[in-house]
Amino acid sequence: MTLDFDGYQNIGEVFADRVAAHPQRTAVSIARGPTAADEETLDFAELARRAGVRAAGLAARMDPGERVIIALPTSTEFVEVYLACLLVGVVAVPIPAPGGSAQAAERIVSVIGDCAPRLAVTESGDREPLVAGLRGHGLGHVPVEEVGQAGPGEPTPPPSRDPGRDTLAVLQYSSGSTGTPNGVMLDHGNILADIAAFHVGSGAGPEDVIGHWLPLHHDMGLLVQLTAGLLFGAPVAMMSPVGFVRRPVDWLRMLEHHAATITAAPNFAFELCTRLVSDEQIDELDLSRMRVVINGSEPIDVPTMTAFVKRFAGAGLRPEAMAGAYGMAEATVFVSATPLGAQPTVLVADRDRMESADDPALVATARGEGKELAGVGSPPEGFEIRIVDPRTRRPRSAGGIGEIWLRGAAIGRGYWNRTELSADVFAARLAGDDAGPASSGWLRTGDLGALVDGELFVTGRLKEMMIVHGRNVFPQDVEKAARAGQPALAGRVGAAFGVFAPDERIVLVHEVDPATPAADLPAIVTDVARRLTIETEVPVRNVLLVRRGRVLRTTSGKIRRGEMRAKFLAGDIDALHAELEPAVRRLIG
Amino acid sequence: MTETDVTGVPRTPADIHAWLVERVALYLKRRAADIDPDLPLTENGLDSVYAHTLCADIEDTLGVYLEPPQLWDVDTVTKLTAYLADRTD
Repeated sequence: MTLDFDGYQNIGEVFADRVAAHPQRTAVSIARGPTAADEETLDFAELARRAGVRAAGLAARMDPGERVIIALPTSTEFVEVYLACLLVGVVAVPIPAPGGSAQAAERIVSVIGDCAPRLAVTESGDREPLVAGLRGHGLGHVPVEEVGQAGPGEPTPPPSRDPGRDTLAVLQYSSGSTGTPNGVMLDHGNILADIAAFHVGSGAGPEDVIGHWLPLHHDMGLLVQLTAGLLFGAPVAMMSPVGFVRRPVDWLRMLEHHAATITAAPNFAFELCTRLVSDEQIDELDLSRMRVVINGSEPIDVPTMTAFVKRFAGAGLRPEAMAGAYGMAEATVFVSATPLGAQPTVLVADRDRMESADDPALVATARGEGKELAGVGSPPEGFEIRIVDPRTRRPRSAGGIGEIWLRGAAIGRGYWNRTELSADVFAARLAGDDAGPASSGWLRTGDLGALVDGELFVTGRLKEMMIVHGRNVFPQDVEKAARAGQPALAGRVGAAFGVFAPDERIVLVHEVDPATPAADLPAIVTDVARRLTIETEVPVRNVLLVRRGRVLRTTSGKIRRGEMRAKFLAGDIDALHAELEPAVRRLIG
Repeated sequence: MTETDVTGVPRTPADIHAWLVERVALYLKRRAADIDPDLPLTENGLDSVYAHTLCADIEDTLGVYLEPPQLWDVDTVTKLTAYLADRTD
């Protein structure tokens, strides 16, 4: 079945056609509580009605282009409000519901400060604390409302509000950052282009049933799961991320219960299921309907994927259902995936060639032993891709490793309110190609990769961001949180970076007050690791305390995290005290 | 170890203790002998994902509903054993 959005101006028009075609088909089913009995289901007609009621309410009080913060958990209300925004050309800004977490509350305040919304929508319990938090930051004028019920009636939004392809639809803030949040601007055209690319690249389409547990403030959950379902006219079954991590098997049971054919999750989810779902549970599971099981949004570990396929073969999972995928919020989300019906390509790469300083390249090893990498398919039509030497900005030849640059209709319009950064990231120029309109520039992904026989392999990262449990984690936030509650680190500098053992682990090297007695150092390390793990929900088990001046900086004061990482891996950090988890200790040469 | 419960449900404090050590070891891919029951769970390597998983395990096996903040408050396997033993008479 093919899918063509060319004749449509906005997401609402496509959705309206799906509603007209099959009003009684299930649109969303949401597990709200710990048991299957707590499920809530809306068909296309009822979702359209509720979103329409909410849209009329928004249109009556907001101008096109104004922002609405959606700080709601996975719920029908989230879907209704999100769709309502899209129907009337206001901009949806999905962010994690605070749910009592101090860090999440701080994040919302910082996003609200950045995008100046006209309204923030929360659950009842989150409203009062958010109002208080906003007042404390001079943002008390932003209305915060409980989401409530959509109410009865059959309203129609005024036709003059029909958004165009270039109307902003979503501001997509990266999930980890509290310091200086960057919201990717996506317009209706970007999202339509990306869901069309997802259809072509992964084979997912209108005949599928989607099931997932990803948070709806996460690009993969919001766009290639929920929004893809709305645009395909396909049912989407959802559960909360906490529901998944409490009982990983519930994800797989949900897929079976809803006869789902498509799902997506970060690598860690497959590892969790492989180890924690019991033989008895597998005997009772049927995953034979699954057509596309996407491993994306964090680096793919080949042994994890292989073990998952082997373990769940007993539940009828077909190996060719697995797909490696690549994407990022700056490109809406989807960039490429293993094509339908193929198993992910595995390349055993020569490590020396990969790490060559002059000419890094992805070449199959001749020696048998090497680094296993999963291919992520080729970006479908609509994307252009170049592998670029980040120093010279010249394209590399086939097989050469360089930064992944992308161009196409799914690439977002830039970061909200960040003109300079947006020009650097979204409108980069190849060497010798300095002329031309801004739209002819390239997205610098910050990821490193290579094209081998036309297929993309992601090999590493140029940017400093880390990814843990599918969440983007920024080193600045880890360093700041470490200092915040520890006087011995206050006012000093640290460097956080990721290492692979084999999944990504965070290492923090931090300078400590020279007056600190040596006997106190172990307790400081324990305190930092504990606070980061609990408060920021980022496991940081590798902490090294160093003397003043040992964290390298540029002359302008910028932390040289990449060099600190290289020193760490070479065993060149002279720590006063260090705690390392065993798998990370083994990496040090 | 004290006597083993044939139903597989840990009931005595010693059984609960051994069961918790075994679960934590499973999550962290370590041997039970390498889990220090008197060290904070975070120092043993438990993170926010496994904190949720352990809470659900405790609920499913012992019938005690917990969320991660309570787990972090109780902090060690030994103290968690006492906490759970009090609630599973």
